[in-house]
This record gives sequence, C-alpha cells and structure tokens, in this order.
Amino acid sequence: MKKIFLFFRLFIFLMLILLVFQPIKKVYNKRNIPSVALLIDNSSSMKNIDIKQFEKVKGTVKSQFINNSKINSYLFTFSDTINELKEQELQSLKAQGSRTDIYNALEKTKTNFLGKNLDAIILFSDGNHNTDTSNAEILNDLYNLKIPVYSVKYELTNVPKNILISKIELPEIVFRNTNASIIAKISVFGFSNKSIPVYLKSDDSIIQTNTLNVTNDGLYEISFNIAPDKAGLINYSIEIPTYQDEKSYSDNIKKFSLLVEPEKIRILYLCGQPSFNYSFLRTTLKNDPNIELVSFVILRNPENIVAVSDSELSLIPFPIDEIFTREIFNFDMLIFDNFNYSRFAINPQYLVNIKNFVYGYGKSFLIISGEIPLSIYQNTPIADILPVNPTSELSTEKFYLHILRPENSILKFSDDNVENMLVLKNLPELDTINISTTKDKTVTLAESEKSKHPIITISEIGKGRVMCITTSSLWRLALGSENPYKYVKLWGQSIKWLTNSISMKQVAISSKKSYNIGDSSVIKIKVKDEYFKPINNAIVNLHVTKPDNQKEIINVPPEIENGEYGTKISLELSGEYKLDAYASYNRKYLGEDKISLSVFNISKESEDNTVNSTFLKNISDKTNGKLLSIDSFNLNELNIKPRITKSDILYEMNIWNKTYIYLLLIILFCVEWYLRRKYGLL
Amino acid sequence: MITQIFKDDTTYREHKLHRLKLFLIGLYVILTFNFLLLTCLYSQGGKFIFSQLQYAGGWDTRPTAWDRISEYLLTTTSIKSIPERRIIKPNDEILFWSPFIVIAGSNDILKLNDSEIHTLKRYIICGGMIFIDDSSGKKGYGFDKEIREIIKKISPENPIEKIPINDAIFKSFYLLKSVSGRIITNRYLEGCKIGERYSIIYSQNDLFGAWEKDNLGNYIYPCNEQQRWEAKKLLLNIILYSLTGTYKSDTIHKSFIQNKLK
Repeated sequence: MKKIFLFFRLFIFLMLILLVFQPIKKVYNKRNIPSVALLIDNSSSMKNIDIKQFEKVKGTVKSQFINNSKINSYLFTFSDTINELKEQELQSLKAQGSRTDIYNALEKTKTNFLGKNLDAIILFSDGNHNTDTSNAEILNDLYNLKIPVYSVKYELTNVPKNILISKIELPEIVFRNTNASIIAKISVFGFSNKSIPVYLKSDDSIIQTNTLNVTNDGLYEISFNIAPDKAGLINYSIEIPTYQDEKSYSDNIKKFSLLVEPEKIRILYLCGQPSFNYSFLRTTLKNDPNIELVSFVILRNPENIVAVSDSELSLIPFPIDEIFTREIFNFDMLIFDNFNYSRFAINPQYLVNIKNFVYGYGKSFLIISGEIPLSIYQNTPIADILPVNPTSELSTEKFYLHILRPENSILKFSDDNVENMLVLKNLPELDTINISTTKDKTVTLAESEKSKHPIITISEIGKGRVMCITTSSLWRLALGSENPYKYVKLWGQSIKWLTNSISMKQVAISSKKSYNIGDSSVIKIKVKDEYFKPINNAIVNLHVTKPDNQKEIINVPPEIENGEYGTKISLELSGEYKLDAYASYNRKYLGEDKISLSVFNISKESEDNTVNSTFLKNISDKTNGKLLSIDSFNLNELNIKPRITKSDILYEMNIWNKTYIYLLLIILFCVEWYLRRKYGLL
Repeated sequence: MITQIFKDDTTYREHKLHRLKLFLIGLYVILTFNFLLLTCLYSQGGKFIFSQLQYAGGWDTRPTAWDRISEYLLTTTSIKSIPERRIIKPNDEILFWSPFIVIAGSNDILKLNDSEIHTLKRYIICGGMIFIDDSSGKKGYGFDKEIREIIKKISPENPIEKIPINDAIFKSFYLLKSVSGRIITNRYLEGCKIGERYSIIYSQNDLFGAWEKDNLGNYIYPCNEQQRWEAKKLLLNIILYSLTGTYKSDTIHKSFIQNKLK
C-alpha cells in the first residue's frame, strides 16, 4: 500500500511541476526548398548599353526560376523604389526607372522578409547605384543584411562608339587666386588605345588642355586645376573633339559656371593720429572675419617730446618705403584717415604708386579727412583719384546727413524702401566737415543737410573704386544710435562695394553647383548678424528662378543651432537655376546672397554607361555571395540551400489549456486524501 | 529856450540810440563769442576730449588732473585734444558725443537710477569706454562695493575680470610691466571686455591723484616719484587705448615689442 501512496504522491508532485512550467510540444515543418528573392534592376541604364542584356535577364528569370519546383522565388523589380513583380508581368517589364537605388532595394527586401526565411538574394544589375548614399556607405551597412547576395552583372558587347561627358564635379566654393579642381567623368566606348584631348574653356578661350589616354572601354576621370584671377561668376565649358561614327556629338561638350569668391580682404589702414574715428573704424574692421587688417597709427610726431628712452615706448618705425613700394600691392584696399603724407619723407613716386594701385591695379582707396584737410593732396597724383575737389576749409558746424542715394547698396539698411528711408532720416547728428566740391563723375551718397557740403562720395577711378568721407565724426552713427548696427552695416557695405567683394556676406548660400536633371539640390544658408555672429531665428526666404523663368519663394527653416538654414529643391529642368536668399531678423535687413546651379540634360541613368563590376563584387563578397555573369548564369551551380531547415510550426501540443487536466489533478488529490484517511495515515 | 530844449532832447535821444547801439553790438559780440565757445566745446570730429561723469556726491575727486593730462597728451603724443573738461550727467545727450568718460570716486557712494544704468549700458554697447578711478584705497565697501554693483548692471553679459598684463592697454604707448598708481590698492586693473577690447576699465590705485597739483605747482597727494611716474604712464596708456583699441596687439608690433621687453 505504501508503494501505491508513494506513486500517488510522486505523480501529483510531477503534475504540479508541469503545471508551473506548462511545457508545450512544438512540431515544425521541415524545409528542403530554399527561398530566394530576385531583384531585377529596371532602371533606364539597363537598356542604355545594350537592350539585349536586359532581355537576357528576363529570359534567365523565366527559364530558371519560374515554375522551378526546386526553389521558392520571390520576384521584385527596383529602380528608385522596389516593387513586387508578378510572374505574368515579367515579359512586359521595361527598363525605364529614373534612378538605381541598390541600397533601398536590399534594405526593403530585408524588411519585407523580416521573420520569414530568405536564403539568398539574386541581384540583376549593372551596379550603377546613383542616389545620395555612396557606394562605400552601402558596403559598410551590408553586414546588417546577413543574407548572401548573388550579383549578376551585364556583359558589355556591341556597344556603339561614343564619348560622353557624363558628369562634372565642381568644388562647392572657389576663391580667387586659390587652386581648385574641376573633375570631369567621361564614358568612352570604341576608342581603345587612343589619346583624346579634353579642353577646359572659359568664354570660348581654351585655358587648359588635358589628354585622356583611353586603354579600354569604360568610365574615365580627368581633372583640371584652376586658380581664377578674378572674382564673380565665370562661365566655363569642358569640350572634347567629335569623332566619326560617334553615337552622339552633343554629349562631347558641357557648359557650367563658377561663382568665384575673393580671398580674405586685406586692408592697409594708415591713420595720422589716435582718434575716436580710428578706434571705432578699427574695431569694426577687426571684428569682421572677412577682413585682414594691417594698420599704422602715428602715435608721436617729431615735435612731441617723450622723457623716456625708446626702449620704454611701444612705438615701432613706420616702414614708409616698404609699404609704398612693395607691400601696398599685396593689399586690396588702402585707407588714409587724417593722414598727412607730407610729414614723412615720402618719395613722390609713392603717391604715383597709390594712384596706380587704384587706377591700374583695380584696388580700392578710402580717404577720411579730419583735422588735416584733403587739400594737402592738391597737385599730387592722389588728387586725380579723389572723388572731390578739396579745400583747406574746415567747418565745425553740427549737421544731419541728407541722403541723396538711398537706393545705393552702401546705404541699404533694410530691404523695405520705406523702412530704409526711415532709418536714413533718423541718423544721428555729426559735426566737422572738410569743405569740398564734387567732381564730374562722382556719386554723392550723402551731404550735410543745410550747408549741402558733400560728406560721403564714391567714384570709380580706372579699374578701382574710391570713397571719400569728409567728416571725422562718422563714429557718431554708432555712439549716437540705439545700437551700433547702422555704423557697422554702413562700413560693411562700403567695403563690400569698394572691394567689389561678395565674401563679406552676412547671408551666405552654398550648395553643390552642378547637377544632372532629376537630381535634388541640398541648399544651405548661413545667416549672421552685422558682427558675424550666427542668428538662429532669422526669417530666411529663398527665391528660386527656374530655367523656364518660373519663380517660387521658399521659406527656409533653421536646421541646427549655429545660424544654418536648409532646404532641398528638385531640379526637374535642365539649364540654369538662380537662387536668391534674403534674410532679416527683428525687422533688420541682414543681407542677401545668390548662386546659380547648372543642371545638365543628362539623367542620372545615362551618366555612367558602364558596368560597375567592382561594386557588385564587393556587395557579394561582403555578404558571402558570388559575382556572376548573365551570360553564364546557372542556378544549379549556385547550390543554394535552406539556411534553416526547420521553418514554420506545423502544430503545437499544449495540454495546459485543457480543463480535464485540471479535473484529473483535483480527482487525484481527492483519491489520495480519501485513501490516506481510510487507512488511518492522516 | 524851446529850441534848446528840443536840441537837448535830440542829443539825449542820440545818446540813447548810441548806447542802444553799443548794447546791441556788445550783445552780438557776447552771443557770437558764446556761440563760438559752444561750437568749439561740442564740435570735436575725432578729437579727444576729457569727459567726466557728474553724480550726486563727491564725483570731482581730482578737479585739476584733466588739465595736466590734456597738456601732457598734446606735448607727448600726436593726439589732438580739446582743452576742455566736459562734465556730463548720466542722462545728458552730450554723453553720446563723448566716446571716453571718466568716473572718479572716493568715499562717497555712487548711486545711479535704472534709467541712468540703461543709458550707460547703451553707451558701452555703442562703442563708448568708461574708465573708473577709485582713490579711496578701500576694497569691498563704499565706492568700490557700489561701483561693482553698477558694473554688473551695465555689463551683465561681460562680467568684470582682471586684465592680463600682456593686454594692449599695457603697451598702447609706454611698455608697462606692472600696474602702478598713486596708491597701490591692487596690482592689477580690472575690466569688462566687449568683443576684442575692454569697454570698462576699473582702477583702485588713484591714477588721477598722481597728476593733481596745487596752484604753486606742487603735487598735492604724496607718493614715491617713480611710482607717480608709473601711474602717469598707465593713465596715458589707458587714454591711448581708448583711441587706438587693441592696435598694439597686432601681429606687426609683436616682434618689436618682444625685443624691447627682453
């Protein structure tokens, strides 16, 4: 009896343990047939080289995969997106996609098959991936895929003879007198072992020639190093001579333009004596990151007596000869502020050099009169470049500025004309004028309100530009205002005009300059205040003028907290896109900037008409797959086997959701209790 | 008789007219002179003018120092200065014609209301420079305590800091290796830097006291002569700094100055 009780008790304990863990028996399907995703590239490039190759892909898929009982095939086509392909649609499939996005195709396949079994991916493509994701980025991300990719490449046969400039890569920013590279990608077919000249032209003149040594058919790169000697928009073209029997002649030339920025503006500032005019202007110029300032102030004249040795003074000799013979020509701008040349042993030739600096070299000159009237320059070469006829008379009157040219860029404080006029009318009072009269071709921007003496004048002298300020109290525009904005802005715009500069930008727009049709351009706009500190809450509008002259205004949102704003525009037309960015902050006009984008009539898909075997091989190598050729493709040789032999659950054995099990357990408890009671074991 | 009376009357009238003429001419001369004086006082162009802040209490601690300083500037440097002292109240519009102002203090407490603080705040933002000279020689209370509170309000974003001895202030004219004064409360100057230059400079070493003389030409406040000379040099450097900024920190000066300091 004891044995029976022991059995009962053990059985009940066992049941209780099983009740706690509730084990389930699962029965799986056994997998013998591998599952394969077929990705067929149907972008236009698949037909560009040889349409027969694309037909061969369709034929191979049909013959080796469809109705093949040894393999489960899932068909997809991809170009810029990936779509499922039904078997009956295969025959009518056309290669007409606008992009090749291999990365997206692989990623989406992985996502589609998440939780399902996929034993291999077979990729039929020419390998010419052409989206923003670079080939290197794709290869880096492939370790996440964990599915072998068998890449099946085209074979190039019977390609027509052609030379095609398929892409031109331009630097984002080019500075004057600084080296920059222009890279041209050229596809060559049918010109093996030939040397082809490639010309870089500017305004129809050849400026450089390079030779392309073609060994085999394929894509070649050739680069040109340029160092433009002038700033502004410069038109270029890359041209290749046309050869007999070429498929197309129009693709042997590509035109584009480059916006050349001047390098940092170098200013030489000579001041006759320490003054508030010098301290305000110097601080403004020093705070400007676009300016490299070298200044000399005459702290002591020969008649001044200092009762200490020279070693106790910080004075340095004024290098007259060096400045006026050699150094001057290394600067973009010269400032004379209350500077009396006659106090120094200045060779008359030096004044001729200053005139040449402006007249012949196209540099700029700013002259400010103070205690020392401009009349000291009468009958000198400097008088020839002055915008005014000076007198020795100094008026100590206080005056307001009367603005004569509010529309001039130098006096533009707001992009709204009414608001600009209001700002100009409320400029603070100034004093002291060196009386003068204007010359014929001089533009007077401002004069004294009552006495009508010219105060701010500008003129273009020869190749250069000159500005004359006949008061030394312009610092009042800063100290006499609510903030120094007007003063800083006025000087910023004056220097911009004087140096013909476009680098002194508070608003700077940047983007890649050359595109193919259908591309998107990522536009970045940097916005800074008058002290060149980034502004994050500015209103930034981008005016886009398309090649068909249609206009669009885009409000550009801030991107990150450093005064950077960004947007993306689609380039659907070939030609020149003109972009103008305007920014304002707290109703203050900050500035504007413009660029133009060259959009070539080449689709992404016709950019490269070769087969990128290396990229396809790298994809396969990274995923433990193989690179194969469409000509010799044989599914059986691949020997694809199911990676996991057990697949979906066929059925489950679960007794713990059955009521009778619990009833049985209760009955067993009751029987055991009853027997123990009956035999007096309790 | 009647004729005589008429004659006398005419002479009287002529006298009266003559006197009136003289009075008008005198008035014209005085007005013109005053106008010229005023014009001279206010028209400055880029010239230096010694401007001092007037406030309730002992603002004029060293009343004659400015005259000697202006004279010294004219004889020693190429600075063109107006031989006047411009006395300015904090809310005077003339403050904005004076890019350099002095606040002198000693034992009296300087109190400024919110509007005056706001004006001085605007003043330094717009490019003005304030030089504060405390001649009390006391740290942490009185004028020093009060002016530090005011500086905090005027320049909340750029707090007061010690000015390093290699700053352009110490080489703007004389090459100075240390901070001196009529009294030496601190071996340093302090200041608030806006951008690349100090817009407020604070000395507690009675720099103006080093210049103050009586009518007989004797220095009023005692001090070692070498120390007095160093104090004068420092004050002159501060004025030059207000007119040239960080000029002497420019690369072109570095090698010259380093050689001289060896």
